[in-house]
Amino acid sequence: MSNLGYDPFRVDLLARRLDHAVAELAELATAGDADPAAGDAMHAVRLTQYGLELHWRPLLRRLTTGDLLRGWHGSGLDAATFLESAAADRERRWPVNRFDSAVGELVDDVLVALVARLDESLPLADDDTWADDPATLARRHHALARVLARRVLDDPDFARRVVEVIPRHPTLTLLLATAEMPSWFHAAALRELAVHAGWEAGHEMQQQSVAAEVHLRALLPDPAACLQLLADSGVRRWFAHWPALDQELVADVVVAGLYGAPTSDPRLLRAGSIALHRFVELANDEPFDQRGFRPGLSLGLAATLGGYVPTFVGSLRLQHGWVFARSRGPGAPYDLALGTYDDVTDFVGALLRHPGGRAQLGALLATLARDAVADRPHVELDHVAEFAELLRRAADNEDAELAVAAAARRATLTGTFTVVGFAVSAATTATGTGPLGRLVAGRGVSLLNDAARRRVSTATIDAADFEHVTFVMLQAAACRRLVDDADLRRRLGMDEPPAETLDELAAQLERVAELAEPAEAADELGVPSADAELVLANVEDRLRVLGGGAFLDEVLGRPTVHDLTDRPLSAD
Amino acid sequence: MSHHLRAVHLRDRAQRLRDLAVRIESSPVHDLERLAGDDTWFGPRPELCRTMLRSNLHQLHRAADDLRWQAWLLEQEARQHDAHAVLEASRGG
Repeated sequence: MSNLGYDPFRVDLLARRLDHAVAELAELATAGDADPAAGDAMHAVRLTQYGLELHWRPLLRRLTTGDLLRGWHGSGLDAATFLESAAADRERRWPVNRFDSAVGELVDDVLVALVARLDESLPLADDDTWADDPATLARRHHALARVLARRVLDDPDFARRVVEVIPRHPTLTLLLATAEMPSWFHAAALRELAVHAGWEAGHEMQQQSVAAEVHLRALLPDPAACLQLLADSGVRRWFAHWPALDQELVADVVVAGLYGAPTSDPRLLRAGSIALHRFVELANDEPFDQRGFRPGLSLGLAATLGGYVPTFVGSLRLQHGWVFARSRGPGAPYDLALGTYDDVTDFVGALLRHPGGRAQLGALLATLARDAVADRPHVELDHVAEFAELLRRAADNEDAELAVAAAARRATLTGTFTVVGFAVSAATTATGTGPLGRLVAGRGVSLLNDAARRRVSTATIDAADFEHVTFVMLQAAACRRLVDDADLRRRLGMDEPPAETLDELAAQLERVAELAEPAEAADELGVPSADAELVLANVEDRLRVLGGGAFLDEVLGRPTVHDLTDRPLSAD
Repeated sequence: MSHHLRAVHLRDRAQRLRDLAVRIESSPVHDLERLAGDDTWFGPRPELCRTMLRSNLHQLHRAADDLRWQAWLLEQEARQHDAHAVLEASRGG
């Protein structure tokens, strides 16, 4: 307080002159309203009146009533009324070009004055009678947000300045969240937040975290914008490492960008592959190659990897060469080097450091096995073993290997497959995949978080390993196909079994799923019970008796699969 | 409305705009800066008030200029109507 002081006599005189000036400005504004040509000028008049009401009058009132300069009272002018009149003025479209600049000046001042008040948790409007009324506050905030949003949309330069101050005034984000803002604005704000991310835990980090959440949530319905956001190196590092981001939202945005965007527009598949390549690079950069990614990014990347596997799984055979993403499907064809085999191994390893990533990649392995047995064109049987080998090498410890293996076996036996490739028809997503797959292929991704929250208890999965899991996956897929595919049975020369036999076998396969996922363990990613595998073995035996032995031998006797069983389980 | 009446109306509007400009420039708000010096009050908040006021006064000066510019445009338009009125009168004659 030592640097504050005033002369009571002079302040009293000043207060009276202020009243006179405000009254004169109010009269002027009324007089000028009669002529549209005076619109710009009357804005300046009202702005001056507002500034005096907001800053001068409360302070002078305090001084003339005996208070010291320690408080800050608002004026009697309703901010919402003022702002609404500004918006209404604009809508009148008076033929004066300078009106835009007048509104710009208005908003700049309001931005400084009102956002600062919001950041200090002061009421936006000035009559304390209404400051605690939620409806009044909401109306005033909405009015301010509307004017700001209008200015942002109309003036790229103003939008740039607003984006720049967001990291310092996160309250501005909350305000703008009540208005409809375009995706590019949210993306720009997120890039700015990524650049200015505070790394010290505290109020600033918390505020930025809230701001980031608002913008990420707003960006989510626009997959192409999410993909574009992932093209920014600062944002990628931010997602990979900043501790205060909402991890569920990060996963959602990554899935929307890397999976949702190419699904809705195949021309974006190449951009998705490029983003994936950048994440492979990031996983091999210091310090991420030591610490891995944050859980949300790991989960999001693992959930979307299935879309890209068909583009690069063919080049995994050359285990010491380059891994190429190749697409000849819809959209422009392309070949793109994702990285060396070791680079991709490290990338997958980064995803496997979190339980959600392990669950996703386990389910992906199971899906590859199912699709390979079903002769789907995007994956061959050999690819299953090659992808399993990649996962085995990527897992940096035995626990991680076991967790992925358990997830794969569970996914196989319960039918909770994910999605492979981008050419997913609505029918497939509705019936051929588990909830996770439907989720990834669809709009929402919130259920992904169920997987993220699950924890694999290594104590319960000591029997799980890749060679056994690979066998069970193929066994389940082959049995399911023999039961479901009459054409295949005919081609194999099998005697067509009676319908009731097929129904019984189908029921037993359903029973496998039930045994594999008992209700009481629904939240655990543990190993399915041994009973499930006994029932599955029984189904296989019945199918062999019916003449399906040759097909089962072909699937289960692939040399590449048996190669896996000979490999040591321990990590590299 | 005849060209003559339009011209009169536009000149009236122009005059009102010029009057407004004068009223803005002679408004008592301009006295506040002089009355609110350090000998009246000092400190961060008075300084903020003065800063805001200087910005507002600058805008008011521009507003007065703008009003005169609008008045000039209206008068130009009035002259055009005068010319049309003369033209019509000569044709009639």
